[in-house]
Amino acid sequence: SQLSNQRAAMPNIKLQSSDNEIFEVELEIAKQSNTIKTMLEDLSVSDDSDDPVPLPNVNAAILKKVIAWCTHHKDDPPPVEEDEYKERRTDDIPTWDLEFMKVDQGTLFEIILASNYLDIKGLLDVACKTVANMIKGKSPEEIRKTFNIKCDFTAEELEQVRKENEWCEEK
Amino acid sequence: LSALLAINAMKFSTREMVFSAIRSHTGKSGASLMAIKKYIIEHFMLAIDRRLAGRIRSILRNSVINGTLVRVGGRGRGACGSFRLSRGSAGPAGPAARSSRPASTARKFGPIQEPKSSISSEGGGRDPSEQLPQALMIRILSELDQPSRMKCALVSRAWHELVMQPLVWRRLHLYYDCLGKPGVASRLSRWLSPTLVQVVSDGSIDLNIVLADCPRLQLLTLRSEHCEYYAEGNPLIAAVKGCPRLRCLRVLDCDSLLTPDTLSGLLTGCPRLDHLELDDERKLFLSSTVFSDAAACAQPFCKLLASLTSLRLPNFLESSRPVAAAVSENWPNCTNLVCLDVASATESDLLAAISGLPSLQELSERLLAITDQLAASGIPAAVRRSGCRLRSLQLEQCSPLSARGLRALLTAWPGLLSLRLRNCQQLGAEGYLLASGVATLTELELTGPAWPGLRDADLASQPLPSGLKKLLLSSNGWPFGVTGLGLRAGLATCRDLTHLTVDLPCHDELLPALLTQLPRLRCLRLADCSGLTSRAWQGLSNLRIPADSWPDLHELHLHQCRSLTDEALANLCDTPAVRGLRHLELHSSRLLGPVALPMIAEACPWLAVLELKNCRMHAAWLAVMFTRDPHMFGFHRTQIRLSAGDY
Repeated sequence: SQLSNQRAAMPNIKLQSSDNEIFEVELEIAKQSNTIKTMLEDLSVSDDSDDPVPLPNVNAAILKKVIAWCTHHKDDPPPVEEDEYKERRTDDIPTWDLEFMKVDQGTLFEIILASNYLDIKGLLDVACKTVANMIKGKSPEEIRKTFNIKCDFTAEELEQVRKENEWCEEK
Repeated sequence: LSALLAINAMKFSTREMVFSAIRSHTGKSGASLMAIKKYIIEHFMLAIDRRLAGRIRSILRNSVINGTLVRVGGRGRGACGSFRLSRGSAGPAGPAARSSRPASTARKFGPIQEPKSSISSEGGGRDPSEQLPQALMIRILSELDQPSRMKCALVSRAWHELVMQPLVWRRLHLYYDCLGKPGVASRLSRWLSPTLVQVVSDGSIDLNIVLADCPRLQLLTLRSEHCEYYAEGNPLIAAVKGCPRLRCLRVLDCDSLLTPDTLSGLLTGCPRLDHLELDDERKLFLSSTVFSDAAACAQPFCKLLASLTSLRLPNFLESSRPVAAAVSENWPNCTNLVCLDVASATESDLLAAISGLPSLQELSERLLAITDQLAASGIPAAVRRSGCRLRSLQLEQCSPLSARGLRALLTAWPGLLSLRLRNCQQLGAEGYLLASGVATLTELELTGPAWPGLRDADLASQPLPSGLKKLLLSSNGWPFGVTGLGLRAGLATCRDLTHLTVDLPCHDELLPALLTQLPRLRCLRLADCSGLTSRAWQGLSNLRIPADSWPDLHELHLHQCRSLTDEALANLCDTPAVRGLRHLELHSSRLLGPVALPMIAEACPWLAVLELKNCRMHAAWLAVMFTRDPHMFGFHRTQIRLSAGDY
């Protein structure tokens, strides 16, 4: 009952985006961000404080996305330590997250920046894997096409890089 | 293939094809979306990709609205339900009247469509190397496999510079003979050795140059079928001098590297080493080279073991008797050993391990014939001596062990989290029920025996552990009458199950039950679906589960799945459970028509691997095999593996 009292006393927190929009979020959801969590602990915000937490690096559109992600994942078990003996995988992303990441590249990169700034490990992980999956298995030309990159190598330079890197291909 | 191309040369509009499909359906019930797609595939030999499917749906929707089509019975909305022509509407001219149309108006589309990226880049791609700070780019690049990483180096100068950052390469895979060219090894050692954390080597000369100075290296795997490639300069000699932080060493198939010198070197040079694995998967060099100089090896080896927490020697002790004896005597010095995976040669070896290892939590034993007698008296006494409390027990090929012995083991080690019993032939129904009744388990594997005497009712009456996450059940022949239906009740409380593999004959009601009962299921493998009838698949479409409570299946394997028709597949594809599939395997589904591929492509947008084994080959599918182009069915980046008994 003590727990439910605490909840009743301190259910929500206000977050302020860089463009001054205010979002009211459950405290437990907001605390998935280590940055916010540390901020609250350091400031030891009093229970009845109504001041919004300023997040000058995140705009409203992205903050909305981030909050949506954190809300969906609020009951997730805490992240387990990575087993170093295992190969890293990028194909184990939950389907909800895959659909969530179906956004234009600008938004995707902003989500990465925001989750990095807010220190939300799970979101940063999924977002980085999403970009990795956009690269995996593609030829250099396909990668350039995907991200609209101009090749500024000369033909000789390309050949040299290719030669330099022969060692890491499987024969 | 030529027939396919010929028909494809004649172009029809989607509207023409849809209406001719509906016209061909003379029955009262009208034509469903599925039937229309099937007709188009069969009569126009087109693959239904995403674009075409979308067009068909919008034509159906709009035609109902403008009155040229009628939805039979008024059930469904959008493109759902069945359709027939409205009275007085003939629809557009069908193929029969086609010749009167001028050729220039023919719409152009064929089965091969431009691949669309699963992530839209329509808003214009942006170079992430300009958008993201270097640290995050490094993180993304280090998620990649090595060949993809190298493709990135060729993208642009900025990308090349990023890829060349040593931090991208903390985990390095050295393929077989990859250091063969002169200068490569010394370049890698200057470039990467200072930051390397993990190295896997398939065997290459000059590896010792790379390992000579790796101050951060923690994990080293040496494996090689070409031992001679390590001959010039044993890489372990380099590692014991150059890798002071090494924690995990795996030496697979190249045990000649273990000499008295390297063993004592590891002891002083790698004080943090706590995981050692010596395996010989091919069992070729066994005992011939491992510790050939047993007298000289035994002592440093035992000293090394005393500092470990984890030891895997799955093939080894039995073959190297003098060392094994010394190891057995030495167990009491290994006070930190938590995980032991061995193949003991004798009962006394096993008892020495159990009684000598107080910290032991995970024990895997192979080949040793543990008798009921040993399980009932020797092992419990040994457990009392050391006080070791196991969390994980794995027994392989323990043929004399019966239910009585298993009961004694489970009493000696209460509270197991993981239990794997492979090919323990004498366990019988009682053993099955004992093992599956351990309430604390999160992982259970019971594979091999015939489980004589086991009945469906037993499966139903015994609830499986409620915390179970992984379950693997198999038999070399389930007793007659076991239908797997009992498993439905047995699994009723296993809400956390993520992996389920069973080769029980699957009952019609089991499949829908699994999807409703197991919300966290990720990987489902049903190895015997031969008993499933159309009822099972229809059952799927009647399931009432809230949209967000469906399991997020990533892998689905259905073997002997003979009743899977196109209609049945449509039922399966209609369930939200398949939307997230990354790997789908259908085995012996010989009733599937050509429509199957586009249907799967549409229902499973994230599919990475599709395996259709022993299915009937259709002309359109063959085209995929010839062109190796999955896009023609609307797949994006799906690897398709087809195999068939006939063409």
